[in-house]
Amino acid sequence: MKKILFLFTFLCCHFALYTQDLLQLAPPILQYESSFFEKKSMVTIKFAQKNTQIHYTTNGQMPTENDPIYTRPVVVKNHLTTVKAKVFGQGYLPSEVVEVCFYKRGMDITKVEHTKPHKSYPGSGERTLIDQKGGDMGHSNPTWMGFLQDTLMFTLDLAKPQKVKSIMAHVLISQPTWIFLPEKIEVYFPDPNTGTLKLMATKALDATTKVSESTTQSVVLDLDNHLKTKRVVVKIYTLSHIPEWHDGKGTPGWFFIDELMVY
Amino acid sequence: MRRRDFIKNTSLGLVATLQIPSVLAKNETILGHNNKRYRINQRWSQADVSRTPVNDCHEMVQDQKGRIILLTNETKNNVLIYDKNGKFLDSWGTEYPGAHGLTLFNENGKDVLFICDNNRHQVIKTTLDGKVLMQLEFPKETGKYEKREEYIPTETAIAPNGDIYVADGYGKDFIIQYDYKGKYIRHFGGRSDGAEGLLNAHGVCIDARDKNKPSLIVTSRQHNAFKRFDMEGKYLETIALPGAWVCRPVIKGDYLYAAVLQSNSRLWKESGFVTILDQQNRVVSNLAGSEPTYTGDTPDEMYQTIKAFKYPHDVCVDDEENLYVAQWNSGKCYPYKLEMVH
Repeated sequence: MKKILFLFTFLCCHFALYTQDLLQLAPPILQYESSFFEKKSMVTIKFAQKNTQIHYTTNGQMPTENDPIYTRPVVVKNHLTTVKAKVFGQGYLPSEVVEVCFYKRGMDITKVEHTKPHKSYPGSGERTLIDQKGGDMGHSNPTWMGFLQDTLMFTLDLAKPQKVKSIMAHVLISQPTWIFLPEKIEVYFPDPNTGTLKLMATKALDATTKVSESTTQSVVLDLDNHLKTKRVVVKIYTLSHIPEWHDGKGTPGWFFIDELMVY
Repeated sequence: MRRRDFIKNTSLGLVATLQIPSVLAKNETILGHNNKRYRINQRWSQADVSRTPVNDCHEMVQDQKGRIILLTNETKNNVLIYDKNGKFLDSWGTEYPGAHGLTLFNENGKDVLFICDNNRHQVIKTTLDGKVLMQLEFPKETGKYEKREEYIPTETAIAPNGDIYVADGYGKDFIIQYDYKGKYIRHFGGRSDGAEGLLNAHGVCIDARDKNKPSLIVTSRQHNAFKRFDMEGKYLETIALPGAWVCRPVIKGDYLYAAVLQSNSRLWKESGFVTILDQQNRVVSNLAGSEPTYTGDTPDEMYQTIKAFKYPHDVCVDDEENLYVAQWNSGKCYPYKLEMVH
């Protein structure tokens, strides 16, 4: 009983001292030109709040207070580098982690031809998907192309025939605005003699699981045989029926893409 | 569950429900910058959630008696009345499903309220205890509206002569001016991206800080700006507030206060804060927001830094310069009080 009384008194004091809950810091703001780069990229991290520090990592780990404190823009030089940042400050709960992944430019693509995007989201011209620009969340930004039809074709011409190991499509998921992952992506190489398309890789995606926050995603298709080709055809099957739990149930999902890479 | 655990849990529950006098509160969180810093109290309201619940808490004003009046779109009680310590005093109103804008006007010594109702497409003038004095219908006289549904008033401002300015902030973004009897005088603004155009004209107030030249300040929320007009609706200037979805301007003394619904950098992620501007329209303090800095005459992009608020929708400044913050879509929470730190 003594123990309980002690606990009671302790808790009373404890609560008396903490009538106002500890507040959490908001996440810092990441600023960068693009998620894609040729030689290097740079990330600026902003958080104008006294007595707080931004800690960041580039090794994929969650930032802790032991990780470096941000003082100047972080330079990224390696493919698939993820910059993660979190704010800590005395008297506050630490922020959530914000992160951005950077992709080094793949093979030189001279031309891309594709299904016409929706007139409201036309992108920024014929090089939209190979211009190394994009990676932000704003779907109305012209780095994104939006589509609302079931099967899309993208034909990529490489500068010269090369052994292709993988293809990456950088896409947007923003379910509150009816933007979903596609159902399936296929990669084809045309036969150099006949031109007939030969299926090289296929990937089915889980488009219907709920994702509450908007996010970008890189969908990578690894090819089993690293064959030489000058042309790559990517076929994308968009979501035909938005699932039951969504306001748009039964109707097709939007598909947004800002970059295609060949490695 | 073991008995000891049960007792532990019970005592925890007991302690949590005790009212702790605020003098004992040691864990202070001070928000804001420069000479506008405040101690936040998220447990200010002592209203009983089972008797007087709230939904969206849209706006608050203080009456002559010093009472704090809250407008919510909860039709069990659209209006809640508190004292400054958060003691619940009274409630009324079941007829305002779209209760949004609340303005108090001292009419020949007597306080009256103007309520904008989004769902009813009306502005309703009432006494402090809810008796309806006048209703303004959709402004056909402007020639801009064909049916009432096009008109979704969000705010009113009342000039010293009794003229009523209504902001159609969720409709066509016009400001419609009436005389004190409700007779149409003129309209201006309207939705556009031009200098004088508005986009989500969410609030309007009368700025009488320059006594010789009173003017109107109108919110253009999606432009992240306030726009100043003269009392006849002539456009004067834009006050850009990059990053900040400002709600209605509230002027008290030399300062302008505004709830910022959210930050542009984190849209629809409960990223709101409160901003305070001085008479030169310079941001001097952001409560739970970034420290104000300038590049030339324009503030650098502002954003939430502390998750003290979710979607703040209005600020009420009382006679002691303390603030009350009402929030939209924030888990049906009651308003917070922010005590000025001197």
